[in-house]
Amino acid sequence: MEPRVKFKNFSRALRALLLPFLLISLWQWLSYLGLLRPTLLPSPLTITQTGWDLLKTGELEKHLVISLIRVFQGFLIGAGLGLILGLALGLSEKLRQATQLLTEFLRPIPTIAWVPILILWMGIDEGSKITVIAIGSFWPVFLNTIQGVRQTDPHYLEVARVLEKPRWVLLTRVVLPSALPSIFTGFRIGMGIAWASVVGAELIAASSGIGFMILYAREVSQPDVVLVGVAAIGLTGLAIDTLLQKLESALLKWNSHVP
Amino acid sequence: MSRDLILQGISKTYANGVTAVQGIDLTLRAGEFVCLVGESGCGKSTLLRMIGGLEPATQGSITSDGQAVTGPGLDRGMVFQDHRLFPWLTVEENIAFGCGESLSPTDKQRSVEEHLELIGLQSFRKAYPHQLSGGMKQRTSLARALAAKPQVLLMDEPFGALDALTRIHLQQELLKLWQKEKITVLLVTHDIDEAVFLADRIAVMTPRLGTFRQVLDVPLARPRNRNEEGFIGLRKTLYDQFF
Repeated sequence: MEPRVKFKNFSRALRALLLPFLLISLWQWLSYLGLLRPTLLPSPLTITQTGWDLLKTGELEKHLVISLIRVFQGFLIGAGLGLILGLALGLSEKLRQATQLLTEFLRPIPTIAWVPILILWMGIDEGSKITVIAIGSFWPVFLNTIQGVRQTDPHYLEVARVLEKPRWVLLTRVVLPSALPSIFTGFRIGMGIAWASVVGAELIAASSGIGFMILYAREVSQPDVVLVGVAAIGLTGLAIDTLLQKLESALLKWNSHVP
Repeated sequence: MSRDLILQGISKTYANGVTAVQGIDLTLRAGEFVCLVGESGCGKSTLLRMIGGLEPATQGSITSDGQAVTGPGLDRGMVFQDHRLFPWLTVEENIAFGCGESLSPTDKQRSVEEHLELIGLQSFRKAYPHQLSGGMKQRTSLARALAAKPQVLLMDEPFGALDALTRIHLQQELLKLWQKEKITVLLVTHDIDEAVFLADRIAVMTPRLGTFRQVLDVPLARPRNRNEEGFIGLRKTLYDQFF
């Protein structure tokens, strides 16, 4: 890498880190002055210490892994269904009309509102937790896939028509690649929602997971553990999204310069 | 069976009552190069799209390769002004998209090689369209159309978006390809110079009426010189039709 580019990246990272650093410093300073009650808001140093302890005992990792497995299972189901149904509805105007009322009725229902009925139907095991996550990740993938498919440039479809391409070539070589950037946006939003809804899912009589850890710590009045959990959710979410972004730019190299 | 492209009494009226094309008769002999010249909105692109089978004619019949045209067909290839390369496919993948579906992978590969060489873009085979210049994009688009082995190549202002020098280069390359591949070409343009340089015959369209004002023979030998007397004379004849 050229020195100039390196410096540019360095100064960009510096700028991004500046605000969090200032906020945490201020927070630590106020705690040091005794202006923040440790039972409500422990100092950043205390939280870091607790986080480190939880990491050393392996408790934090255990809860994180369990939550991650739930999220991936739920996402796989939700995003998978969203992709398949989105493709079908994106391709067929008639199917869209037939399902329009239903989807518009279901879409505004918040994921959390499904929790009680899911408990009734599926009990309090993994099934209902994963289903909550699946519902959350379904919508963005579903809606973005429909939009991506529908926005395929008619000029490209005309090229395929002139060359008398069969339907499956049209789908795999033209429609799908053209919709892929939009589908990926759906994946990223869907994954974000899936991860964010893990706490809600773990409201359902969980005995493990990062959401459970937070809720349990609140009950036993350990605000530092609560905040370690919150920070872990934020950092893991950031890490997942960064990974997805990397995957996206690797898969969609062609898209980087398209206006 | 005749390999000519025959248009008989072609008319096109849109649902809103606007007539784009009216009573066009034209026969393109196999291997002929015909240019369609006219102002914007005179119906020349519509006529081309009807021959391509992308739009139905309201009246009349089009016969290509002895068969009535009812839709797109591999006997008729198309090149558009906006190159329409797929941005997610590389140059070679875009060309491969033009190949027939029945081709075996080895035949496909051979056809791609052949057409890459034809347009001289072997070293850009792995490039994506956004990495190409305008001329290279249009060359690739031409190669994709030729890879389908059409008998007739329909070109809708293919060089209209290129700079003047690139346009002249591509005109010369197109002539070479046409002579090599022995295909029939119908090229729509509003560039009189281009028409005189390329065509065996030039059909001049009347603005707004959607009819031919004149179909002109170009009796000049190739390679043509844009500055010689015959060329200039013909260009003047055509200019007088418009201004």
